[in-house]
Amino acid sequence: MKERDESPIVLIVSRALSPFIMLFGAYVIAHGHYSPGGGFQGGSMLAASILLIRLAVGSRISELHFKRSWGTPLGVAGVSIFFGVGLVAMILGGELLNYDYFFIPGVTGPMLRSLSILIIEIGVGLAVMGILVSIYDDLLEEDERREDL
Amino acid sequence: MEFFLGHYAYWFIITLLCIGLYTVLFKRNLLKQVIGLSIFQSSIILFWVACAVKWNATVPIYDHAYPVEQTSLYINPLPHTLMLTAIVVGVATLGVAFALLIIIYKNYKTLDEVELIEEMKKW
Amino acid sequence: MHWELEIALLVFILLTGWTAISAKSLLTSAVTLTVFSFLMALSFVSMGAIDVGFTEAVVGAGITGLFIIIAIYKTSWRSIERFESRFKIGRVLALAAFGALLIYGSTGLPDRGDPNAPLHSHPSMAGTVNAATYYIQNAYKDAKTPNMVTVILADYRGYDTLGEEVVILAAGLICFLLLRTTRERREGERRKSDRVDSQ
Repeated sequence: MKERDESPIVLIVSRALSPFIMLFGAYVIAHGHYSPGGGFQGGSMLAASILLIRLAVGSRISELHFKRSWGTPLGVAGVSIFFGVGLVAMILGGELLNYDYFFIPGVTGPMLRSLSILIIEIGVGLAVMGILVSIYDDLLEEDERREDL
Repeated sequence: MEFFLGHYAYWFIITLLCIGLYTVLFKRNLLKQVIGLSIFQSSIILFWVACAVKWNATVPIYDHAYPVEQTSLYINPLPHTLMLTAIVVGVATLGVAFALLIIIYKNYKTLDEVELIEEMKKW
Repeated sequence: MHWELEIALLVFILLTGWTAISAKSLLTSAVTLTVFSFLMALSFVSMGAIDVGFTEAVVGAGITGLFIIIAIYKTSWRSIERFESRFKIGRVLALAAFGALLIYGSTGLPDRGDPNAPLHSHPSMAGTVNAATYYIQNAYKDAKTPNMVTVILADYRGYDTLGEEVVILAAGLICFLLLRTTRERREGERRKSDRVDSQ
């Protein structure tokens, strides 16, 4: 898991599949309204696409793909989106997470609730992806003093 | 026969629960005990989902051919919602458990339960 | 709900669960746990819970096995469990009593699938509206979304989802604080080596 895998089949197949898995994860988040899917499923698939590259190519080279320090800020950003929607609804007059008081220009009624659900699912997906990649990086953390000096 | 068809799933799930509890009580390696706890959690999730089933009902996605006033045509969606978040939270807490195991191994160089208790008594 | 398919899947789930915990090598346990999670995902879909099955297939059959293999890699790469389990009469009695009590209690549950069970019945036992039937009847009218589970997750039970997200974030932060400890020492040593080079 630290060095690159020697077999060319593993390298080629994982590098070819990873962007398609990421695209499918984004599709699952966006289609949570009409088919099984939603924030948790899509976020886990996005995390799986990044972990595939980390396993196949090694920790040092996959820093170029997704840095180790991006995991936790993405998680915090996802929770902030969720909480931000609730706070905007509270400021504009209703209770926390009451979508009838949320503001999107031009939409009211059931469509307003549908679009607010979509924004919340995007927040949940980003949070799950960031935290799962961050836990993987933390478990694999090692003393790197000998390599740097 | 009706009683068996209505209750067989509960008995299988209780057996799985006892398998999970057996590892925590009887195995000495800490990593195996964490795996047993994960099996325990999966059996609880299976129990909730198994309770939500109805005869001749369809999945909880709105379909124009099944009128929504007869609620016995749709499977109960409330346990599915609660268990969905429980699965992802379970994976995150599994990560925390492994982080604790890695720190225990760094300090004591063993993951065996009996040897660990003897080492800790020396302090 | 087809009882033949469910019984077959449940028997295989029990067999793989037993193999996962009684294998001598920890690597075998990790791989068998992945098969166990995949069979759980199949059995969720056969019971009609398609969202839960999707999540279990992505998370259980991929990421759980990965975390266990990393834990084995970082702790004891020899991955052999020394010394078998020991037999203690108190623990055996406790486990047997627990299992017997649960099986006795499960005979009091209503038949699985009965639409008149208290879990699914239309006016609930206290005379108020049953929560699940209210959600089934009003999900499409209120939010114009066919998937009822998404509407319940993000609209009717939004507070629960917010709480669970904060729990996931807290678990990530705990791992970050416990394990990322090498950063300050590395910068301190680099500064010492710069001073040595410049002389």
